[in-house]
Amino acid sequence: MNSIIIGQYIPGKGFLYRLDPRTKMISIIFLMVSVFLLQNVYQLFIAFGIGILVLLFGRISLLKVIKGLKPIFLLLIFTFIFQIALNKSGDVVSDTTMHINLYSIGAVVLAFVIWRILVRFNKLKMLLFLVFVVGIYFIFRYITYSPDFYSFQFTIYEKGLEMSAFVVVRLLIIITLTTILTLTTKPTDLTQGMESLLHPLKKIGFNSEEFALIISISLRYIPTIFDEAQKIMLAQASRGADFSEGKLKDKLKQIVSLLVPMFIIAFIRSEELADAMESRNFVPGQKRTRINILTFSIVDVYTFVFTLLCFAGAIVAKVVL
Amino acid sequence: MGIRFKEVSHEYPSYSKTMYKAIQNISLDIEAKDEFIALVGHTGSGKSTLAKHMNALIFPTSGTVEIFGNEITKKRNKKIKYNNIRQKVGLVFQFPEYQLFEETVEKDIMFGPLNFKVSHEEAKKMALSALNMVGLDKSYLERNPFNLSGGEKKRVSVAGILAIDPEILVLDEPTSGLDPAGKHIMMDLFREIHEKTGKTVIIITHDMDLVYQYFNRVIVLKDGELTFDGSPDALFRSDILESNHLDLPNTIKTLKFLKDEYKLDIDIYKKTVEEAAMEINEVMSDE
Amino acid sequence: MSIISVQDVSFAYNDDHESLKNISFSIEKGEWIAILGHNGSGKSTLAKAMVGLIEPQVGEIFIDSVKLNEETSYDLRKKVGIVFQNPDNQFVGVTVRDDIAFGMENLSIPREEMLERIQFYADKVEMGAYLDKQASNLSGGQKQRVAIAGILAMRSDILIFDEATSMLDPYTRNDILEYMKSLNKEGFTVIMITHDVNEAIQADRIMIMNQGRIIAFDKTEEILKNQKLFIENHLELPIALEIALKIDKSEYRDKIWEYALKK
Repeated sequence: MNSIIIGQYIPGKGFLYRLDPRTKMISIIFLMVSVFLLQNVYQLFIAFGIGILVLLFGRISLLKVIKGLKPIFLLLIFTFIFQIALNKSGDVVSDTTMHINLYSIGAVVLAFVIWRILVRFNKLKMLLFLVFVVGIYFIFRYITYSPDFYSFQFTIYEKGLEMSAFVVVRLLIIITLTTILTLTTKPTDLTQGMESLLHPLKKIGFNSEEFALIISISLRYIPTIFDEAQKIMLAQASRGADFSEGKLKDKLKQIVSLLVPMFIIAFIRSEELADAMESRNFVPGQKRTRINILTFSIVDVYTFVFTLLCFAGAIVAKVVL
Repeated sequence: MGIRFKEVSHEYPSYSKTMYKAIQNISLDIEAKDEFIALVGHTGSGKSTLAKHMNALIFPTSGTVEIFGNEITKKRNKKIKYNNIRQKVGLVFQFPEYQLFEETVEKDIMFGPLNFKVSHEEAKKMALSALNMVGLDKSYLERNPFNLSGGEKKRVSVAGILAIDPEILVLDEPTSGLDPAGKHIMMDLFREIHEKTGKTVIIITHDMDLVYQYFNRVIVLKDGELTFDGSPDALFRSDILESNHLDLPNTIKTLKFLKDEYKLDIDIYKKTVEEAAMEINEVMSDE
Repeated sequence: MSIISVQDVSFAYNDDHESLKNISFSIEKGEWIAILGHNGSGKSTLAKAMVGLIEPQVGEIFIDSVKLNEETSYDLRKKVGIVFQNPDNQFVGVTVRDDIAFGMENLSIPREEMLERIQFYADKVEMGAYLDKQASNLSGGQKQRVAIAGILAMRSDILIFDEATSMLDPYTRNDILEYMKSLNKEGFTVIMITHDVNEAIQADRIMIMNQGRIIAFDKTEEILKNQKLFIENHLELPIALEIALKIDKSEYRDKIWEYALKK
């Protein structure tokens, strides 16, 4: 009925879905390193272009990737503005006087109101915010019809522009890379891939198989526990526990009334689950065959070749250029 | 009027992005006093969703639920004190023993009354009287609820709702997980509470024997729609049982079998074992 | 030789209260046994002892003539599969396929073989179309069917159902009972633990337990004749049988009796 999708995985087709999770993880690590090796913004733009091509080739909707960028969007914009404002080296690109006056402040307020209203009815929230920020710049720059309270020079230097683009694009690429991973890989495949990659650590006493089993059991029980929490919350709400209001002391008690039953149920659950696992001959640490296995295919080979080419390109860029 | 459903529907978003209609277009009146109602239906018929509307734990996606004069609609109304509604209609969830959390039975039962701003003294009194109502004596007050048996835990948790003194009591499968003896003890208890206090009691159940023996009104849901609202007798005489995935009570089933087998002229609608046996024995003495 | 033989077993979780007291009985291959008792009668403890999840302090349990102890429990568990009460607390895998595979993975069965068995046994419990479904999208009855497929896939030939139907609604309950019936017909030894006499009467033999002791263990018809047994052990006879017992004319009585036992 109401099932919760864990992680950001969205079912789909295309080669990125068919890739072995290990390939994806290793490639992404290499590609990230490559991105950090790049020297200047032009190289980064090339990398960014390649990234877009990969997305298109993998038939991943750009909209979904942009959605994945949402949480860090503010960070991106502020990084950009800070870099521009603070980095004062290189040639001057543009030098403008910013006017803070009655009209321009009024216009900013108006822009703010329009922005908030539009956000309510529009899904492109990030784009609107961007328009709003750019809008403020133009308002302060061009609205000069009343005497200024204050005015200042807003100078953009070549290096500043370059550095801000550099930082932002680099961040953008890295986030996009991780989004590709979480978007196209089931959580179970992720754990399995991780298990396989961490397998060599067995030598130092880390049992990756058990680690993976623990993660997959946790994944299995997240929706169940979530349902349960909801049920207990409603049950306690029937006893007058209003989780949204009340004094701190009441609130604490209400939280206890939720947590204690949840722990008790979890305890019973784990006992019963352990019995069920043992009765089906599970012995910790014993050798098991696996129903889900990871296999490399030709697509993985292509991907590795592609990754290595990118990596080599980055090294060349670092050493030669 | 206690609770009035007016064309109430409730939809959940589901996995396949289409809305899952838990209940559809339900209109229903429940009196504030003197009703003893069974709510039945196949798994997934929307019984529990309907019950959650009765004390405004969830809101309808369309239609209105009127609970003691408060109109509950899709939008949260700031004028309505939802907590007051929950004091008027007590809802006991399935497996209520899992909502216990205090270290003594008394404290746990007092949780409800204290949440509804009753004084500490008063809450203590209410706890004791609620405990007595569920057939446990005051020696239980100081006991740890987690050391009680399953049946006792269930009773303590029912007492936790009774202590808030609701006008209407709604119970979601209160006998599930109990053995037959425990089942009848619980049902007798609810009937007694109903008869002594005149409170309306609504019980969700799957057990047609219980429905026939205990209740005077039965509401049937199927795929979220209300398909029957009337007396159990009328339900079991009707021809809608099969289409609603409902069974006949065992007394009727047995008598029906005998009637068909021997072409007997007997009344098969008997509620208890004694009545059923008497009917057969009387027919035999007539022969 | 009996497939299960329990000899003078006693068990206590803690010193002051014994959950099993001097239990002795044996079960033949291919039988269908119901262990009947009210909550807390010790029947689930007995089930756990039979799969070696707990070890009795006194007495011995033999499965297929092999004594059950710490060394043999791994091998003997291959023969005895158990389905527990709570459908949610025994579903180990993320998907149906993973869960049916879990036991076989532990037995190191080759993957090809696993895939074959999964399809076969999932089809058997009519879950073949749900292999990729996740636990949270299944009903209680479906999860129990997956649990059955899981132990069948391990090729257990003794199946224990520890109140496996008690959390299900009546219709789903009947479904699971039908599976028990047909599996028993195929030759599996079925042990059903329940507090519902209506379920128990389907078995060949019924064992009544109370306070950790075996009160009676006999053919189903014989057990049912002794109404006192049920009253004394807080059990309830099926309504049809209760009616039958109150009827004067023997022809009708026998007919209803027969009817009650058949369904």
